[in-house]
Amino acid sequence: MQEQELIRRCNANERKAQRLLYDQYAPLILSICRRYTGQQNAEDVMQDSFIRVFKYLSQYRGDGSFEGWIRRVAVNTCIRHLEKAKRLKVDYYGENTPEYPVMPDAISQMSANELLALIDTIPDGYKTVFNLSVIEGYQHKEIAGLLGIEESSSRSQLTKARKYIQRTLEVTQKVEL
Amino acid sequence: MTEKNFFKEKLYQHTLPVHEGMWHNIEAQLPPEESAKRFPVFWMTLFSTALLGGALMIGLFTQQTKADQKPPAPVPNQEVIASSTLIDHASEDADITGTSAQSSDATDASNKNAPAPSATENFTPNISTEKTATPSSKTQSLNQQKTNQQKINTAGTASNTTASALQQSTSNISSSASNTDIVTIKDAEANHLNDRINDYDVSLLPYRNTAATSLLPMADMHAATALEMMAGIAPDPNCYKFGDIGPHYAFSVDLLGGPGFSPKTYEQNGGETADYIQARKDTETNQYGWSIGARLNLHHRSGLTARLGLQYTQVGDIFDYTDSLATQSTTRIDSFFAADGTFLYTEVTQVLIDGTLVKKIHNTYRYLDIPLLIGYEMRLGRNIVALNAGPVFNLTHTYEGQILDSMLHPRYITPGKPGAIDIYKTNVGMSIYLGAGMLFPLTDRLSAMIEPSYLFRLDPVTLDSYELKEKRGYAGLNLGLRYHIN
Repeated sequence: MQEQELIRRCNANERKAQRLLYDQYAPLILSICRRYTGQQNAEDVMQDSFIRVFKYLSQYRGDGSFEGWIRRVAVNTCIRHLEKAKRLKVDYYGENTPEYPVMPDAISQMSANELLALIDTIPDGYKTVFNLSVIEGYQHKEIAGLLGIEESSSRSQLTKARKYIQRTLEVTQKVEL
Repeated sequence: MTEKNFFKEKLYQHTLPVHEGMWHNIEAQLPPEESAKRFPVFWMTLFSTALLGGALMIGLFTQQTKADQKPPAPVPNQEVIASSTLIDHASEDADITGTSAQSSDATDASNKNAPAPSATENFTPNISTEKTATPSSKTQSLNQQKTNQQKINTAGTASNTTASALQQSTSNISSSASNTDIVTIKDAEANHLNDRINDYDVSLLPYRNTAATSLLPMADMHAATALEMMAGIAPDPNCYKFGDIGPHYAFSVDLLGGPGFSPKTYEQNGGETADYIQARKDTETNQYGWSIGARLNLHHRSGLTARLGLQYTQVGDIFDYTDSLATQSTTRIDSFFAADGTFLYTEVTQVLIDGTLVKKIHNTYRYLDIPLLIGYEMRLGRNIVALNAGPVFNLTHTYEGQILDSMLHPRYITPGKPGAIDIYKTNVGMSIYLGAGMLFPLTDRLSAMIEPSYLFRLDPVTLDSYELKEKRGYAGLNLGLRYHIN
């Protein structure tokens, strides 16, 4: 079934089409939710994300890719969930700090699940900015708008996240040695 | 390759296995599937309407058929009617005098076969035989009856039983003939009655009922009573203006149209959308709409009417939107050339202009419906009052214009327009029509009609996935013409 046809049928509240859409995107959305909210809440947030997807599907204009739109809905749902749970503690007035490089060699050798586990260890405030910037590719201006913070805060949060990852990796390497 | 690429490369398209049970949790929170919800309501209403209409029609048709089947209606000649009358009354005479009354010459087969007929039983076939008699034959018959009754009087030995039997048969026809004595009609009165009868075409008597067409009971009645009855003679009953429908059914066609108004209401569809509802109310004002349609009517003589039609309705709103903080962006491209015409470079400048954006857009909503109505029509002098109700089935619903989306941004609702939102159903399902009207005869076959009506649209006109439930009705004033086919 073509994507446009699938969307049209989902808008008409056809259960089979909705199931098809769910089957197609659920594994991806679950992974996104896992990155933002951790393993414990990922499934709940994923459910909320799909309910919002079906509810607001009629507003999808078809301008960009549908996957991009559905990812954005999932990310927004994750952020809303973190805000509700008061887990999103971001420094609102950060300073402009240079980007802190993370050890590329170590990262390149890690599997996706190891990286997920590593991201899980980052505090929620840093983690959200890290996910949005490094993985989703949002600009600091967009992140600032999304989280209600200043651009400089977004930059500093990212730096702190990178520092945190590097320290974690260094500790891990020392332990391994 | 930087560390950013590694994270993105490994995690951007990363997927995780999903439990089967999660879909059921999501499904439980989704609005129920539309088709499953609407199906029984739609079909059950259609079925019950058809059943009710059919039952009423069959019931009334059966009743009418029974009434028509009471008497066989051969057209006898005068001699047969006269002899038949004579034979019947001869048998009454025989009963009175106590002699055997085997009328072997009787021409009425039903009388022959009837087991031990009483006077009352014999009376009925006589009436039916005379039912279709011409005036002249009736006059002759009347004279014959008069002779018979004179015979009864002269006999003077009538038993109470026989007299009361005769009286009973007479009272079946008219209550005015309830006296216990058999009335002798005076010659003058009889002659006067005969003259009056000859003045009228008996075939025009309303429904040729027994009281009016049987001359036998008239003979039993006082002449004044008979004249009173004759005064009630109606003109051609087949004329729709003065009488009821001649055959069982009649057809007519209505062409109607007129102005209307479409009130609408908003309800929340799940989330907290009170601000959005208010914003839509503030930016959309109702306008008057109009409708036009045609209906084919099947009339039963009881007044019940079935109507099937096609109706087009168009409703308009004005979308009035003002954004005092709007920004218009213009791109300016300046190209620079050398003196010899060689292209040097271009400068692209983005110009932002702050201002107020005002939108005033006429939104249009169009409906094509099939009304399937049951009506009842009754006379009010020369006019007819009609009451109509029934389901209306939507064929298609189209829309164009702009409204606010849930983020309070103006968006197109016209399919195919850039950034259009898909929130309206293309078929709004079943509605209920209620109307009351009046018909004014213009010519033999044409009537003017006026019918205020209201259409309840049972379901929201918006999709289930939309944040609001938008319901619309339509109040219309239909003006039109009815053509009476038969």
